[in-house]
Amino acid sequence: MAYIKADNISLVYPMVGANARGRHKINIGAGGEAQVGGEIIQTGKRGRGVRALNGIDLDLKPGARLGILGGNGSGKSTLLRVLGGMYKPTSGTLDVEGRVTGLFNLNLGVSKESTGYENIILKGLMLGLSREKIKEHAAEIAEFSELGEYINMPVHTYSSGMVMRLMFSTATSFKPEILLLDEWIGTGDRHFRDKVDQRLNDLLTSALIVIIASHNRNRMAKWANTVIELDSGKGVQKPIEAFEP
Amino acid sequence: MSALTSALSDIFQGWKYRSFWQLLAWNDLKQRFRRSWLGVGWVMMAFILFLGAKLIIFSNISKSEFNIFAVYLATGFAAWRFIIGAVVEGTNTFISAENWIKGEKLPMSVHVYRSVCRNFLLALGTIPPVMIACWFFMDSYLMAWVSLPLVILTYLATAFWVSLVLGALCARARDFSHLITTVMQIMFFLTPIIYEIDVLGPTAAKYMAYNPFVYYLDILRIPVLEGVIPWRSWIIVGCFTLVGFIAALSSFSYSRRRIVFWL
Repeated sequence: MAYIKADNISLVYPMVGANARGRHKINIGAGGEAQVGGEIIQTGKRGRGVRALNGIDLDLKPGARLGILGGNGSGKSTLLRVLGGMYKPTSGTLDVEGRVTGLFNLNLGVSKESTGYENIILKGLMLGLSREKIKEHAAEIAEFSELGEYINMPVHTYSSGMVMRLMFSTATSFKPEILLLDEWIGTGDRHFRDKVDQRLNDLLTSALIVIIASHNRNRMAKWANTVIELDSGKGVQKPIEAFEP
Repeated sequence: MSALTSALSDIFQGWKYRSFWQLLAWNDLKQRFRRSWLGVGWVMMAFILFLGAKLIIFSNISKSEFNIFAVYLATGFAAWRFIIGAVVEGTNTFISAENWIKGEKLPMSVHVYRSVCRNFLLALGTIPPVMIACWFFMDSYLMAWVSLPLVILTYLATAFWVSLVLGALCARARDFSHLITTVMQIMFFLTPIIYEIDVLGPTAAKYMAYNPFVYYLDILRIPVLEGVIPWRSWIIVGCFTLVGFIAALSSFSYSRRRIVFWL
Protein backbone atom coordinates (compact mmCIF):
# COMPACT_ATOMS: atom_id res chain seq x y z
CA MET A 1 0.00 0.00 0.00
CA ALA A 2 1.37 3.37 -0.98
CA TYR A 3 1.99 5.99 1.66
CA ILE A 4 4.11 9.05 2.37
CA LYS A 5 5.28 9.95 5.82
CA ALA A 6 7.48 12.99 6.23
CA ASP A 7 8.72 13.98 9.63
CA ASN A 8 10.23 17.42 10.11
CA ILE A 9 12.04 17.47 6.76
CA SER A 10 14.21 20.39 5.77
CA LEU A 11 16.24 21.02 2.67
CA VAL A 12 19.14 23.40 2.18
CA TYR A 13 20.36 24.03 -1.37
CA PRO A 14 24.08 24.55 -1.38
CA MET A 15 24.99 27.62 -3.43
CA VAL A 16 27.41 26.40 -6.03
CA GLY A 17 28.95 29.01 -8.28
CA ALA A 18 26.75 31.94 -7.18
CA ASN A 19 28.41 31.93 -3.77
CA ALA A 20 30.00 34.53 -1.56
CA ARG A 21 33.24 34.56 -3.48
CA GLY A 22 31.58 36.40 -6.35
CA ARG A 23 31.78 40.12 -6.98
CA HIS A 24 28.67 40.76 -4.99
CA LYS A 25 28.77 39.33 -1.53
CA ILE A 26 25.53 37.59 -0.71
CA ASN A 27 24.29 38.52 2.75
CA ILE A 28 22.82 36.06 5.13
CA GLY A 29 19.20 36.51 6.17
CA ALA A 30 15.74 36.32 4.74
CA GLY A 31 16.89 37.59 1.36
CA GLY A 32 16.83 41.24 2.43
CA GLU A 33 13.99 43.03 0.67
CA ALA A 34 13.07 39.84 -1.17
CA GLN A 35 9.47 38.72 -0.96
CA VAL A 36 10.36 35.40 -2.56
CA GLY A 37 12.59 32.42 -1.91
CA GLY A 38 13.82 30.63 1.17
CA GLU A 39 16.09 32.03 3.82
CA ILE A 40 19.73 32.48 2.83
CA ILE A 41 21.90 30.87 5.45
CA GLN A 42 25.54 30.21 6.10
CA THR A 43 26.70 26.66 5.47
CA GLY A 44 30.08 25.59 6.71
CA LYS A 45 32.77 28.22 7.07
CA ARG A 46 32.23 30.40 4.02
CA GLY A 47 29.48 28.79 1.99
CA ARG A 48 25.96 30.03 1.48
CA GLY A 49 22.83 27.99 1.15
CA VAL A 50 19.13 28.51 0.64
CA ARG A 51 16.83 26.87 3.13
CA ALA A 52 14.05 25.89 0.76
CA LEU A 53 12.13 23.63 3.14
CA ASN A 54 11.97 24.08 6.85
CA GLY A 55 10.42 21.44 9.08
CA ILE A 56 7.70 19.94 6.89
CA ASP A 57 5.48 17.14 8.18
CA LEU A 58 3.25 15.15 5.85
CA ASP A 59 1.08 12.12 6.27
CA LEU A 60 -0.55 10.77 3.11
CA LYS A 61 -2.43 7.56 2.52
CA PRO A 62 -3.98 6.11 -0.66
CA GLY A 63 -6.74 8.33 -1.96
CA ALA A 64 -5.00 11.46 -0.73
CA ARG A 65 -5.06 14.45 -3.06
CA LEU A 66 -2.60 16.92 -1.69
CA GLY A 67 -2.50 20.46 -2.99
CA ILE A 68 0.74 22.37 -2.43
CA LEU A 69 0.17 26.12 -2.48
CA GLY A 70 2.41 29.09 -1.95
CA GLY A 71 4.00 32.07 -3.66
CA ASN A 72 7.00 32.08 -5.97
CA GLY A 73 10.00 30.47 -4.37
CA SER A 74 8.04 29.23 -1.38
CA GLY A 75 9.33 25.67 -1.85
CA LYS A 76 6.53 23.97 -3.81
CA SER A 77 8.69 22.43 -6.52
CA THR A 78 11.41 21.58 -4.04
CA LEU A 79 8.91 19.69 -1.91
CA LEU A 80 7.68 17.79 -4.97
CA ARG A 81 11.22 16.77 -5.85
CA VAL A 82 12.02 15.71 -2.34
CA LEU A 83 8.93 13.50 -2.39
CA GLY A 84 9.97 12.24 -5.83
CA GLY A 85 13.32 11.16 -4.43
CA MET A 86 15.50 13.45 -6.54
CA TYR A 87 16.61 15.51 -3.57
CA LYS A 88 17.54 13.94 -0.30
CA PRO A 89 16.31 16.03 2.66
CA THR A 90 19.09 17.75 4.57
CA SER A 91 17.43 16.71 7.82
CA GLY A 92 14.33 14.92 9.02
CA THR A 93 13.01 11.54 7.96
CA LEU A 94 11.06 10.74 4.84
CA ASP A 95 9.39 7.42 4.23
CA VAL A 96 7.89 6.92 0.77
CA GLU A 97 6.32 3.61 -0.13
CA GLY A 98 5.06 3.03 -3.67
CA ARG A 99 6.19 3.78 -7.19
CA VAL A 100 6.52 7.51 -7.73
CA THR A 101 6.14 9.30 -11.04
CA GLY A 102 6.73 13.01 -11.25
CA LEU A 103 5.92 15.53 -13.95
CA PHE A 104 7.97 18.54 -12.97
CA ASN A 105 8.57 20.53 -16.09
CA LEU A 106 8.67 19.99 -19.81
CA ASN A 107 12.45 19.67 -20.00
CA LEU A 108 12.94 17.00 -17.40
CA GLY A 109 12.78 13.28 -17.89
CA VAL A 110 12.26 13.54 -21.61
CA SER A 111 14.69 13.08 -24.46
CA LYS A 112 13.94 15.95 -26.83
CA GLU A 113 15.78 14.51 -29.82
CA SER A 114 13.95 11.21 -29.61
CA THR A 115 10.45 10.72 -30.93
CA GLY A 116 7.43 10.55 -28.69
CA TYR A 117 7.29 6.82 -29.27
CA GLU A 118 10.95 6.36 -28.33
CA ASN A 119 10.34 8.32 -25.16
CA ILE A 120 7.51 5.98 -24.25
CA ILE A 121 9.86 3.03 -24.80
CA LEU A 122 12.48 4.69 -22.57
CA LYS A 123 9.98 5.19 -19.75
CA GLY A 124 8.75 1.64 -20.06
CA LEU A 125 12.26 0.19 -20.01
CA MET A 126 12.99 2.30 -16.97
CA LEU A 127 10.15 0.52 -15.21
CA GLY A 128 11.54 -2.82 -16.30
CA LEU A 129 8.70 -3.68 -18.68
CA SER A 130 9.09 -5.88 -21.74
CA ARG A 131 9.01 -4.36 -25.23
CA GLU A 132 5.68 -6.09 -26.00
CA LYS A 133 4.08 -4.71 -22.88
CA ILE A 134 5.41 -1.23 -23.67
CA LYS A 135 3.94 -1.43 -27.18
CA GLU A 136 0.50 -2.00 -25.71
CA HIS A 137 0.95 1.05 -23.54
CA ALA A 138 2.26 3.06 -26.49
CA ALA A 139 -0.92 2.46 -28.45
CA GLU A 140 -3.03 3.57 -25.52
CA ILE A 141 -0.82 6.62 -24.90
CA ALA A 142 -0.98 7.67 -28.55
CA GLU A 143 -4.76 7.49 -28.41
CA PHE A 144 -5.21 9.31 -25.12
CA SER A 145 -2.73 12.07 -25.97
CA GLU A 146 -4.35 12.49 -29.43
CA LEU A 147 -0.88 13.08 -30.86
CA GLY A 148 -1.52 10.95 -33.94
CA GLU A 149 1.36 10.97 -36.40
CA TYR A 150 3.35 13.28 -34.10
CA ILE A 151 4.07 10.32 -31.85
CA ASN A 152 6.66 9.28 -34.46
CA MET A 153 8.25 12.71 -34.65
CA PRO A 154 11.04 14.11 -32.44
CA VAL A 155 9.77 15.78 -29.29
CA HIS A 156 11.57 19.02 -30.14
CA THR A 157 9.03 19.49 -32.94
CA TYR A 158 6.18 19.56 -30.38
CA SER A 159 4.52 22.59 -28.88
CA SER A 160 4.71 22.77 -25.08
CA GLY A 161 1.08 21.65 -24.82
CA MET A 162 1.89 18.62 -26.95
CA VAL A 163 4.91 17.73 -24.82
CA MET A 164 2.66 17.96 -21.79
CA ARG A 165 0.10 15.68 -23.43
CA LEU A 166 2.79 13.11 -24.14
CA MET A 167 4.28 13.28 -20.66
CA PHE A 168 0.99 13.20 -18.81
CA SER A 169 -0.40 10.35 -20.91
CA THR A 170 2.79 8.34 -20.53
CA ALA A 171 3.11 8.90 -16.80
CA THR A 172 -0.47 7.94 -16.05
CA SER A 173 -0.56 5.03 -18.49
CA PHE A 174 2.13 3.19 -16.56
CA LYS A 175 -0.06 3.28 -13.44
CA PRO A 176 2.04 5.00 -10.80
CA GLU A 177 1.09 4.68 -7.15
CA ILE A 178 2.14 8.20 -6.33
CA LEU A 179 1.79 10.94 -8.92
CA LEU A 180 3.51 14.31 -8.57
CA LEU A 181 2.44 17.18 -10.80
CA ASP A 182 3.89 20.64 -11.04
CA GLU A 183 1.99 23.71 -12.13
CA TRP A 184 2.45 23.24 -15.87
CA ILE A 185 -0.57 21.00 -16.18
CA GLY A 186 -2.27 24.26 -17.15
CA THR A 187 -0.57 24.30 -20.57
CA GLY A 188 -3.14 21.86 -21.85
CA ASP A 189 -6.08 23.24 -23.80
CA ARG A 190 -9.56 23.07 -22.31
CA HIS A 191 -10.47 19.87 -24.08
CA PHE A 192 -7.39 18.08 -22.78
CA ARG A 193 -7.75 19.56 -19.31
CA ASP A 194 -11.10 17.84 -19.01
CA LYS A 195 -9.46 14.57 -20.01
CA VAL A 196 -6.76 15.15 -17.39
CA ASP A 197 -9.36 15.69 -14.68
CA GLN A 198 -11.24 12.60 -15.80
CA ARG A 199 -8.12 10.49 -15.73
CA LEU A 200 -7.01 11.78 -12.35
CA ASN A 201 -10.40 10.83 -10.98
CA ASP A 202 -10.16 7.37 -12.52
CA LEU A 203 -6.71 6.90 -11.06
CA LEU A 204 -7.78 8.06 -7.64
CA THR A 205 -10.33 5.32 -7.43
CA SER A 206 -7.44 2.89 -7.86
CA ALA A 207 -6.03 4.12 -4.55
CA LEU A 208 -3.44 6.50 -5.78
CA ILE A 209 -1.79 9.40 -4.03
CA VAL A 210 -1.79 12.54 -6.18
CA ILE A 211 0.13 15.66 -5.26
CA ILE A 212 -0.18 18.86 -7.24
CA ALA A 213 1.69 22.10 -6.74
CA SER A 214 -0.31 25.03 -8.02
CA HIS A 215 -1.22 28.71 -7.71
CA ASN A 216 -4.81 28.09 -8.66
CA ARG A 217 -6.56 28.28 -5.30
CA ASN A 218 -10.09 27.93 -6.62
CA ARG A 219 -9.34 24.84 -8.61
CA MET A 220 -7.43 23.42 -5.70
CA ALA A 221 -10.38 23.98 -3.37
CA LYS A 222 -12.51 21.85 -5.65
CA TRP A 223 -9.98 19.15 -6.33
CA ALA A 224 -7.84 18.54 -3.23
CA ASN A 225 -8.81 16.81 -0.02
CA THR A 226 -5.81 18.08 1.92
CA VAL A 227 -3.53 21.06 1.41
CA ILE A 228 -0.26 22.52 2.56
CA GLU A 229 0.43 26.22 2.17
CA LEU A 230 4.12 27.04 2.02
CA ASP A 231 5.77 30.29 2.96
CA SER A 232 9.59 30.44 2.90
CA GLY A 233 9.67 26.68 3.13
CA LYS A 234 7.37 26.46 6.12
CA GLY A 235 3.86 25.12 6.22
CA VAL A 236 1.46 22.77 7.91
CA GLN A 237 -0.66 20.11 6.26
CA LYS A 238 -4.32 20.62 6.93
CA PRO A 239 -7.63 19.16 5.77
CA ILE A 240 -9.44 20.88 2.91
CA GLU A 241 -12.15 22.10 5.30
CA ALA A 242 -9.61 24.38 6.94
CA PHE A 243 -8.59 25.92 3.59
CA GLU A 244 -9.83 29.29 2.43
CA PRO A 245 -9.51 29.78 -1.33
CA MET B 1 22.99 2.17 5.30
CA SER B 2 26.37 3.76 5.21
CA ALA B 3 27.30 5.97 2.29
CA LEU B 4 29.66 3.32 0.96
CA THR B 5 27.13 0.50 0.89
CA SER B 6 24.59 2.87 -0.67
CA ALA B 7 27.13 3.71 -3.36
CA LEU B 8 27.77 0.03 -4.04
CA SER B 9 24.08 -0.74 -4.10
CA ASP B 10 23.56 2.16 -6.52
CA ILE B 11 26.09 0.59 -8.89
CA PHE B 12 24.35 -2.79 -8.71
CA GLN B 13 20.90 -1.25 -9.10
CA GLY B 14 22.14 0.72 -12.10
CA TRP B 15 23.14 -2.47 -13.86
CA LYS B 16 19.52 -3.65 -13.69
CA TYR B 17 18.54 -0.69 -15.84
CA ARG B 18 20.73 -1.90 -18.68
CA SER B 19 18.02 -2.02 -21.32
CA PHE B 20 17.26 1.61 -20.44
CA TRP B 21 20.81 2.99 -20.60
CA GLN B 22 21.70 0.90 -23.63
CA LEU B 23 18.87 2.56 -25.53
CA LEU B 24 19.89 5.99 -24.25
CA ALA B 25 23.47 5.39 -25.37
CA TRP B 26 22.29 4.26 -28.78
CA ASN B 27 20.04 7.32 -29.05
CA ASP B 28 23.04 9.50 -28.18
CA LEU B 29 24.92 8.09 -31.14
CA LYS B 30 21.98 8.41 -33.49
CA GLN B 31 21.62 12.00 -32.36
CA ARG B 32 25.29 12.73 -32.98
CA PHE B 33 25.09 11.56 -36.57
CA ARG B 34 21.56 12.71 -37.21
CA ARG B 35 20.67 13.67 -40.77
CA SER B 36 23.99 12.48 -42.17
CA TRP B 37 23.85 9.98 -44.97
CA LEU B 38 26.51 7.69 -43.49
CA GLY B 39 25.04 7.99 -40.01
CA VAL B 40 26.86 5.98 -37.38
CA GLY B 41 29.10 4.76 -40.22
CA TRP B 42 30.99 8.02 -39.75
CA VAL B 43 32.69 6.54 -36.70
CA MET B 44 34.43 4.03 -38.92
CA MET B 45 34.93 6.43 -41.80
CA ALA B 46 36.56 9.09 -39.62
CA PHE B 47 38.84 6.51 -38.11
CA ILE B 48 39.93 5.14 -41.49
CA LEU B 49 40.61 8.61 -42.90
CA PHE B 50 42.63 9.65 -39.84
CA LEU B 51 44.54 6.41 -39.84
CA GLY B 52 45.33 6.66 -43.56
CA ALA B 53 46.52 10.24 -43.28
CA LYS B 54 48.66 9.56 -40.23
CA LEU B 55 50.13 6.49 -41.84
CA ILE B 56 51.23 8.42 -44.91
CA ILE B 57 52.74 11.26 -42.89
CA PHE B 58 54.35 9.48 -39.98
CA SER B 59 55.56 6.23 -41.53
CA ASN B 60 58.54 8.24 -42.85
CA ILE B 61 59.66 9.11 -39.35
CA SER B 62 59.38 5.56 -38.11
CA LYS B 63 62.42 3.32 -38.18
CA SER B 64 60.27 0.20 -38.37
CA GLU B 65 59.06 -1.47 -41.49
CA PHE B 66 55.95 0.07 -43.00
CA ASN B 67 53.84 -3.03 -42.27
CA ILE B 68 54.77 -3.14 -38.62
CA PHE B 69 54.27 0.58 -38.22
CA ALA B 70 50.82 0.36 -39.82
CA VAL B 71 49.68 -2.17 -37.22
CA TYR B 72 51.40 -0.22 -34.44
CA LEU B 73 49.58 2.94 -35.44
CA ALA B 74 46.20 1.28 -36.02
CA THR B 75 46.11 -0.45 -32.64
CA GLY B 76 47.56 2.51 -30.76
CA PHE B 77 45.27 5.00 -32.37
CA ALA B 78 42.15 2.86 -31.79
CA ALA B 79 43.09 2.47 -28.12
CA TRP B 80 43.72 6.19 -27.83
CA ARG B 81 40.36 7.01 -29.39
CA PHE B 82 38.68 4.96 -26.71
CA ILE B 83 40.77 6.42 -23.89
CA ILE B 84 40.24 10.03 -24.92
CA GLY B 85 36.53 9.40 -25.41
CA ALA B 86 36.21 7.83 -21.98
CA VAL B 87 38.10 10.63 -20.25
CA VAL B 88 36.70 13.65 -22.09
CA GLU B 89 33.10 12.43 -22.16
CA GLY B 90 33.55 11.11 -18.65
CA THR B 91 33.86 14.70 -17.48
CA ASN B 92 30.34 15.28 -18.83
CA THR B 93 28.75 12.13 -17.43
CA PHE B 94 26.40 13.87 -15.01
CA ILE B 95 26.30 17.34 -16.55
CA SER B 96 24.84 16.01 -19.79
CA ALA B 97 22.33 13.83 -17.91
CA GLU B 98 20.82 16.77 -16.02
CA ASN B 99 17.32 16.31 -17.43
CA TRP B 100 17.21 12.70 -16.26
CA ILE B 101 18.83 13.33 -12.89
CA LYS B 102 16.37 16.09 -12.02
CA GLY B 103 13.38 14.44 -13.64
CA GLU B 104 13.44 10.81 -12.59
CA LYS B 105 14.52 8.87 -9.57
CA LEU B 106 17.21 6.65 -11.04
CA PRO B 107 20.38 5.16 -9.62
CA MET B 108 23.16 7.68 -10.36
CA SER B 109 25.30 4.93 -11.86
CA VAL B 110 22.82 4.66 -14.74
CA HIS B 111 24.38 7.77 -16.23
CA VAL B 112 27.85 6.32 -15.86
CA TYR B 113 26.86 3.10 -17.59
CA ARG B 114 25.28 5.14 -20.35
CA SER B 115 28.48 7.08 -20.92
CA VAL B 116 30.63 3.92 -20.92
CA CYS B 117 28.18 2.16 -23.22
CA ARG B 118 28.23 5.05 -25.68
CA ASN B 119 32.02 4.95 -25.79
CA PHE B 120 31.98 1.21 -26.25
CA LEU B 121 29.60 1.52 -29.21
CA LEU B 122 31.87 4.17 -30.72
CA ALA B 123 34.86 1.89 -30.22
CA LEU B 124 33.06 -0.93 -32.03
CA GLY B 125 33.30 1.22 -35.14
CA THR B 126 37.09 1.29 -34.93
CA ILE B 127 37.56 -2.45 -34.40
CA PRO B 128 36.90 -3.65 -37.99
CA PRO B 129 39.48 -1.30 -39.60
CA VAL B 130 42.06 -2.34 -37.00
CA MET B 131 41.33 -6.01 -37.59
CA ILE B 132 41.65 -5.55 -41.32
CA ALA B 133 44.92 -3.66 -40.92
CA CYS B 134 46.32 -6.41 -38.71
CA TRP B 135 45.22 -9.15 -41.04
CA PHE B 136 46.50 -7.34 -44.11
CA PHE B 137 49.89 -6.24 -42.83
CA MET B 138 51.10 -9.08 -40.66
CA ASP B 139 50.50 -12.58 -39.36
CA SER B 140 48.43 -12.53 -36.22
CA TYR B 141 49.68 -14.01 -32.98
CA LEU B 142 47.63 -16.32 -30.83
CA MET B 143 48.44 -14.25 -27.74
CA ALA B 144 46.74 -11.22 -29.25
CA TRP B 145 43.46 -13.11 -29.51
CA VAL B 146 43.82 -14.69 -26.10
CA SER B 147 44.34 -11.40 -24.29
CA LEU B 148 41.89 -9.29 -26.31
CA PRO B 149 38.75 -10.00 -24.23
CA LEU B 150 40.57 -9.12 -21.03
CA VAL B 151 41.96 -5.96 -22.62
CA ILE B 152 38.48 -4.84 -23.65
CA LEU B 153 37.13 -5.62 -20.20
CA THR B 154 39.94 -3.65 -18.57
CA TYR B 155 39.29 -0.69 -20.86
CA LEU B 156 35.58 -0.74 -19.99
CA ALA B 157 36.29 -1.00 -16.27
CA THR B 158 38.69 1.92 -16.59
CA ALA B 159 36.12 3.99 -18.45
CA PHE B 160 33.65 3.22 -15.66
CA TRP B 161 35.73 4.43 -12.73
CA VAL B 162 37.10 7.37 -14.70
CA SER B 163 33.56 8.55 -15.57
CA LEU B 164 32.48 8.09 -11.99
CA VAL B 165 35.33 10.19 -10.60
CA LEU B 166 35.57 12.83 -13.32
CA GLY B 167 31.81 13.07 -13.80
CA ALA B 168 31.29 14.12 -10.20
CA LEU B 169 34.42 16.27 -10.00
CA CYS B 170 33.57 18.22 -13.14
CA ALA B 171 29.93 18.67 -12.14
CA ARG B 172 31.11 20.35 -8.94
CA ALA B 173 34.12 22.25 -10.27
CA ARG B 174 33.56 23.01 -13.92
CA ASP B 175 37.13 24.21 -14.55
CA PHE B 176 38.30 20.64 -14.52
CA SER B 177 36.38 19.80 -17.71
CA HIS B 178 38.40 22.37 -19.62
CA LEU B 179 41.63 21.47 -17.90
CA ILE B 180 41.23 17.76 -18.55
CA THR B 181 40.29 18.26 -22.20
CA THR B 182 43.41 20.37 -22.68
CA VAL B 183 45.64 17.95 -20.81
CA MET B 184 44.38 15.06 -22.92
CA GLN B 185 45.26 16.95 -26.11
CA ILE B 186 48.78 17.40 -24.78
CA MET B 187 48.96 13.75 -23.74
CA PHE B 188 48.28 12.68 -27.30
CA PHE B 189 51.68 14.09 -28.23
CA LEU B 190 53.40 12.81 -25.10
CA THR B 191 52.18 9.27 -25.69
CA PRO B 192 53.80 7.02 -28.27
CA ILE B 193 50.95 6.65 -30.74
CA ILE B 194 52.04 8.31 -33.94
CA TYR B 195 55.72 7.67 -33.19
CA GLU B 196 57.66 4.92 -31.47
CA ILE B 197 59.41 5.51 -28.16
CA ASP B 198 62.93 4.98 -29.52
CA VAL B 199 62.48 7.85 -31.96
CA LEU B 200 62.73 10.21 -29.00
CA GLY B 201 66.22 9.19 -27.93
CA PRO B 202 67.22 7.66 -24.59
CA THR B 203 66.61 10.66 -22.28
CA ALA B 204 63.08 11.41 -23.40
CA ALA B 205 62.20 7.73 -23.58
CA LYS B 206 63.09 7.40 -19.90
CA TYR B 207 60.26 9.77 -18.98
CA MET B 208 57.75 7.59 -20.80
CA ALA B 209 57.82 5.28 -17.80
CA TYR B 210 55.84 7.96 -15.95
CA ASN B 211 53.08 8.14 -18.54
CA PRO B 212 50.29 5.76 -17.45
CA PHE B 213 48.76 5.72 -20.92
CA VAL B 214 51.82 3.88 -22.22
CA TYR B 215 50.92 0.83 -20.16
CA TYR B 216 47.30 0.91 -21.26
CA LEU B 217 48.47 0.94 -24.88
CA ASP B 218 51.02 -1.81 -24.22
CA ILE B 219 48.47 -4.36 -23.05
CA LEU B 220 46.70 -4.08 -26.39
CA ARG B 221 49.60 -3.41 -28.72
CA ILE B 222 52.42 -5.68 -27.60
CA PRO B 223 50.51 -8.99 -27.97
CA VAL B 224 49.48 -7.95 -31.47
CA LEU B 225 52.95 -6.82 -32.54
CA GLU B 226 55.20 -9.25 -30.71
CA GLY B 227 52.96 -12.11 -29.66
CA VAL B 228 53.87 -11.88 -25.98
CA ILE B 229 51.95 -10.75 -22.91
CA PRO B 230 53.47 -7.61 -21.36
CA TRP B 231 53.23 -8.73 -17.75
CA ARG B 232 54.84 -5.63 -16.26
CA SER B 233 52.35 -3.35 -18.00
CA TRP B 234 49.47 -5.60 -16.94
CA ILE B 235 50.54 -5.37 -13.30
CA ILE B 236 50.76 -1.59 -13.48
CA VAL B 237 47.38 -1.35 -15.23
CA GLY B 238 45.93 -3.72 -12.62
CA CYS B 239 47.19 -1.47 -9.82
CA PHE B 240 45.75 1.60 -11.52
CA THR B 241 42.40 -0.14 -11.89
CA LEU B 242 42.34 -1.16 -8.25
CA VAL B 243 43.32 2.28 -6.99
CA GLY B 244 40.91 3.83 -9.47
CA PHE B 245 37.99 1.80 -8.19
CA ILE B 246 38.78 2.63 -4.58
CA ALA B 247 38.97 6.31 -5.48
CA ALA B 248 35.75 6.05 -7.50
CA LEU B 249 33.86 4.34 -4.69
CA SER B 250 34.95 6.80 -2.06
CA SER B 251 34.25 9.83 -4.25
CA PHE B 252 30.89 8.37 -5.31
CA SER B 253 29.93 7.73 -1.67
CA TYR B 254 30.43 11.43 -1.09
CA SER B 255 28.99 12.79 -4.32
CA ARG B 256 26.04 10.50 -5.05
CA ARG B 257 23.31 12.47 -3.28
CA ARG B 258 25.00 15.83 -3.88
CA ILE B 259 25.44 15.74 -7.65
CA VAL B 260 21.86 16.85 -8.25
CA PHE B 261 22.60 20.12 -6.41
CA TRP B 262 25.68 20.76 -8.54
CA LEU B 263 23.87 20.68 -11.86
